[in-house]
Amino acid sequence: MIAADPAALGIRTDGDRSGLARRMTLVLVAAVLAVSLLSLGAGASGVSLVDTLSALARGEALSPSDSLVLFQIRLPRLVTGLLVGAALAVSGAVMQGLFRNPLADPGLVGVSAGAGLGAITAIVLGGALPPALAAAAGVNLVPLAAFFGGLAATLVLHAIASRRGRTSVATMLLGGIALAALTGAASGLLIYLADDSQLRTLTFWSMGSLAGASWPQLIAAGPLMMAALIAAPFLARGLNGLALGEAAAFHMGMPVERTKRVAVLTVAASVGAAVAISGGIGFIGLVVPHLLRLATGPDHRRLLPNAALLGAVLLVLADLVSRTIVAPSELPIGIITAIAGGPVFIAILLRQRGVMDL
Amino acid sequence: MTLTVRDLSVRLGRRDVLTGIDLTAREGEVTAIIGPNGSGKTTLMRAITGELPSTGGLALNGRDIRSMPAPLMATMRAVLAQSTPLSFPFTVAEVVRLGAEAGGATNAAAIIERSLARVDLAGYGGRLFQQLSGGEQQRVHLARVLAQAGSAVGPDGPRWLLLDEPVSSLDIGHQLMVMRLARAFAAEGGGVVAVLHDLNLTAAHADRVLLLQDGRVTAQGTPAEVLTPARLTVVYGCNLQVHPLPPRGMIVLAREEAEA
Ligand SMILES: Nc1ncnc2c1ncn2[C@@H]1O[C@H](COP(=O)(O)OP(=O)(O)OP(=O)(O)O)[C@@H](O)[C@H]1O
Ligand SMILES: [Mg+2]
Repeated sequence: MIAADPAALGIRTDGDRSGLARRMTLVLVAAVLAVSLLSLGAGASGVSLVDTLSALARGEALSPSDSLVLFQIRLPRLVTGLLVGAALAVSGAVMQGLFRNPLADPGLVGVSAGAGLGAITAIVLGGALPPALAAAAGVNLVPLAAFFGGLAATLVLHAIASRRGRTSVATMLLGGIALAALTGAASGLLIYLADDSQLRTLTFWSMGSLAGASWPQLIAAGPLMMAALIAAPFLARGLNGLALGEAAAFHMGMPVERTKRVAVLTVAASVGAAVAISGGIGFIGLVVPHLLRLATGPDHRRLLPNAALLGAVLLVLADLVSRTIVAPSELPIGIITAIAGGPVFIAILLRQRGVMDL
Repeated sequence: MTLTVRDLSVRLGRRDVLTGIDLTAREGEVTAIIGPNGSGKTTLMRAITGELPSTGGLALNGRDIRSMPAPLMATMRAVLAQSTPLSFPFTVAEVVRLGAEAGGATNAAAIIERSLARVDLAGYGGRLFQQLSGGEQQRVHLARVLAQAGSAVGPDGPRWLLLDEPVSSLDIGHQLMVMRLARAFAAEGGGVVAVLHDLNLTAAHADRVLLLQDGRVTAQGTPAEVLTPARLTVVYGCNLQVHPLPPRGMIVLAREEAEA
């Protein structure tokens, strides 16, 4: 990836960007708090956060309806938004580090499609499971199925695109397109088989929205979604080494195989759970790491946590726009992330045109 | 202490790329591996680093390389590969830092600065790696390798530099600079194994030479023993003359025969 002039990017003459990245972390933490408050205070019901907080401060009890809106609707939705955004952004960054390519977004290369197929399979065919198994899986069935779908897609993609430790971008993107087409066909077949009530669930799910966010859903999908976030600190060093290729990473003592395995598993878990809970929300995993690499450099030790924060901020903002711009109705959030993310994707392609043969 | 290779063989796909290689590289010495394209030099280096599966004996400072954990090995030897791809816009300092941290450096900033100065790239830390010239990029990787090695002797004995064509895209001044760095590292008690194509550099700077041809050792010994005109002419398939160059070394010249 070609970047602009170092001085224009604010790089110190000694090339150390860790201070820059730490300041970015502080800004992003503040931004997370700010959008969280904004998001809690906005909504169709007109419950005002300022009023609520001042009432609480005066020691008054909340009215039952206000309390319901805040704690059962807006709060789970906010937490879901934060988690989905963080999971998608970190997954994107991890995947790009693994494939050594800034275009490896789970949404672009078929991982989300694989997770989607898993989710659709669970919704349509879940009833056919042995009752004992279905009961054991419970509300986790859809997230788990999405995880396995995403995992299968990631493994297939890695097998297609990587040879002798090198990943071909062209093969990766084309393989991703083929994967997405195949899983799309399978999903279409399942939708064709679905009955009316399943269709309603499917439509709701595929719109890409946080509108269905609830505590039970969060409890089911949240832990899976956090997989990549929890793994990130352990992956960062290995991913830094992988930027110099597998051989150099091994020469520098990095745990190459473990990094690859953990990266694939946790990305599949996080993307799978995020897709299961929010449908297809694209471009967060592509745009967030790209912006951060430009601003503070590609060192994964700082890129991954900052990506989690920025992903959370952007997704909560997108959700805020999606439910206020045409209030009282809602725009699917995927539309908003696509409108914002598409141009950035094209910008990356244009910058890379000279360097990479696709 | 030595780097010892005993009856080493490597099979890649269906090809026996290396057969029955014996090599003993000693601390305090620069050992050169030479041979035509495709003779197996890189493969031998990759086997020595532990990167490729191989059969036969392979020991570093008396310890079996194959049973050594990668992080420990990273503190005993540093490797410059024939080519190293870099994805993502790292600064020069960030690339060298990767090496410094792999070697267990505690004061990375100082080591980065010193390593860059040693490869004549002082002040380049803030440049983006991908915006450097080919030779500058090669020297950044060399600085990374030097930063990983740190001092020539560590707690586990002498440290080793394994360099695959370290001067392939350098100008003559920087080629000499790199060879002097290698000599200095050996003089301080470390060991150096380097793949070289330039027979004159080999003659002037190597203590021992291993000549490979078709995956086998053709000759091994001091430069004077290995670099004989008759042998070189056969191995490289062209007419080569060797002239002594007092007080030490020799010069190898290619002589074009007038076609009869
Ligand atoms: N993965 C592989 N599978 C099969 N054959 C291989 C593989 N890698 C290398 N070879 C073959 O092994 C032989 C030795 O290759 P190697 O890279 O060791 O040569 P080299 O001496 O380093 O050459 P050069 O001077 O061009 O760098 C070559 O004939 C090459 O084609
Ligand atoms: Mg080679």
